[in-house]
Amino acid sequence: MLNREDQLRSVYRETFDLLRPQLYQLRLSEDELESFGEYVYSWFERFSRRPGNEWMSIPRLRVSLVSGACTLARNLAESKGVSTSSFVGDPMHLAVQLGIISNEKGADS
Amino acid sequence: MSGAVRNFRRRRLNAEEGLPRAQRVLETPFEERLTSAAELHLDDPEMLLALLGLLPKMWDAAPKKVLEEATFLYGYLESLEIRYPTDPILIDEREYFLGESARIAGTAARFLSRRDDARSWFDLAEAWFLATENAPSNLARLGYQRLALRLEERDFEGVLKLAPHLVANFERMAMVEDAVRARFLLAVVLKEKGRLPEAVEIFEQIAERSRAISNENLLGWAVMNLAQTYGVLGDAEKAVAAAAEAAPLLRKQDNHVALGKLQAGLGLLLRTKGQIAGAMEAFRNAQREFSEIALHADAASMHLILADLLLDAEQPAQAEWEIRAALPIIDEYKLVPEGIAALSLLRDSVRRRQIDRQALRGLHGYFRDAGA
Repeated sequence: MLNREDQLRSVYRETFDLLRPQLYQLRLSEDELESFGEYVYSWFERFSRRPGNEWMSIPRLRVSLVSGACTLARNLAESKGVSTSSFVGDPMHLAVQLGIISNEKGADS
Repeated sequence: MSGAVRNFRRRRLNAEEGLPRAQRVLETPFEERLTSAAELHLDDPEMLLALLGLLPKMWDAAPKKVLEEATFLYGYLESLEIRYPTDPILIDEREYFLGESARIAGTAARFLSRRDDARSWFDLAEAWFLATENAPSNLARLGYQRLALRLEERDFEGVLKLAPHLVANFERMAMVEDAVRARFLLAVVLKEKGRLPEAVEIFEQIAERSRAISNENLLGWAVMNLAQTYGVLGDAEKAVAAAAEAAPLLRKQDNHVALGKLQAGLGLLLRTKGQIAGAMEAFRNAQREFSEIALHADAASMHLILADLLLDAEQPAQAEWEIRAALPIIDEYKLVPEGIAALSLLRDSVRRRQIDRQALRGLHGYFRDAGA
């Protein structure tokens, strides 16, 4: 049984791997991609410690992880002057598209 | 976000550094904080998360201080412009910290009976929380504070209708502590409506769940409420046993609010038993606890209850003094919107130096959930 920190890393890695192809649209170097990943993880780890989130199961926070990563990707695209269509829509659709959550859950939320 | 840019980023705190830095911020006078913002890591999310975790732990003991701290923090964060990618705050953190500061400020204002201020803070919190990730969780926690405010304004029907939804939402989101806390709203309404056995049942459940999640703060409140409710039921043995369990827990947490309420409950019990001197002492102890942390509404309610007791003890001059001490507080904080007629009758009777007992009792009835 994984502890909460291991679960957090596992959910993050799995989600980040699914997002990676979209992130290439931002024309990031490996160094930039690594740095982006570090920022997303540090945010996600703090996010999981917010009051109210600290009791929630980590998989339940996955949609917020996708949404947070999309926000940071948009900020990054702006700062690099790159235009991208992947991160501007509803993160829920991206999560469904990437198979992170099922279609039914996406429609429910 | 090139390597070069990365090098320009200020050092960020790690999770272990957040708490000591937050404590250091609290020890720094407000006027020195902005000039030492970088040194204090005032905009670091780890420090901010720890600070916003510390403030709610202080609001039972020092609500005025918490209101000042949250107000400062809100003003600082509002003026903060996040420069991406050099600043440490990421994604939705500015919105979350602003929302949480406003929620905490509103809660402290509620404790201090500044109800209009509390409402304004809660509106601000909502505006920021709507822009956060997992907004339903933040909004539900805000919903709890809004219902607690309605409870203090004695909107029992509204709270009775909405509290079960709040509990269900917390449970659906696996927000265990918040679900336990929201049950207090139901139990307190039942107590106020005289449905005491049902209230006792819920307070017992809350105590049991608080023990299960090792939350001494919630446990202290639950046992204090049990002591009060058993007292109203006239079950002195259970009331005293619960009070004996609650008092050390509350003292350990420096929880003046609950200690005051515990004393007030004891006062009521002693009064029911005809032990007037003991009752007066308990109410005065309660008043001291409330006054110590500027809980003016609760202190005013103690003045009125003491006045009533003093009339029983045929000490009308002292009773008048107690009422005269309470009236300006009731006016200043607009404490009894529903009891304005009773307030007016009481004021007239004091002017005539013939205290209207019915008006006095009617008025301190409006404070019942505040004091006892």
